[in-house]
Amino acid sequence: MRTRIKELRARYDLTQEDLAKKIGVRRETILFIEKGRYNPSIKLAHDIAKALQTTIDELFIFDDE
Amino acid sequence: MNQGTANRLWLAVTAAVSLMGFVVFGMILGGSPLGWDVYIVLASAVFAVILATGSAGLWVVWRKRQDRKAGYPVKDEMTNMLEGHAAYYTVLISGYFMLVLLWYTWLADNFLELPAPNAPQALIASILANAIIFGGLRWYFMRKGETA
Repeated sequence: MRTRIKELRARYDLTQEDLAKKIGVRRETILFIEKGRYNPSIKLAHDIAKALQTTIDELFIFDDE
Repeated sequence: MNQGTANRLWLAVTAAVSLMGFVVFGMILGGSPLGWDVYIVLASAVFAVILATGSAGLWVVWRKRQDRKAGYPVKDEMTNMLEGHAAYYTVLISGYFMLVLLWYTWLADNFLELPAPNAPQALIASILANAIIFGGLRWYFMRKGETA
């Protein structure tokens, strides 16, 4: 699974710290999700998508797609 | 100071303090290191492990305070899940350690000319092993990420 979090963060000029604070998780969690080393829960995926003004479908790219 | 540098500094200070504790405690008990017997070495090693564990505890408290000040949650869903993994493997490995300790004690008591730990020593060793295994696994999983 890949994500577009980094790309969207750059679009809104958000650092990992900013995004982590915005959705109430640790910075490492954002880092691991970006690197594909952690699969977030649906709730967290929804929160990230909302913070980046997109949808879960747009945010996460599955390799079989 | 960034987090990686602070981690390395803490590890270096902990290692140095534990090593000094090992040597100083051993010298208090048995004088020159050349004259130490196995019990003095073990007692000093336990003392060094206690120092390292105390240092790890202080580090965890300090890090949590820093995170709170910076506005981050101390735990989130990822840390909870990875700590769960660490706890699961700690139970398995600690159980194995205690079985090995039991076998060693039985063999040392009945067949081998080796010092066997008494009940309090075995209990302390198990508690320390449990804490060290959990700390190590937690660190490993936090670096590696999700295991599934």
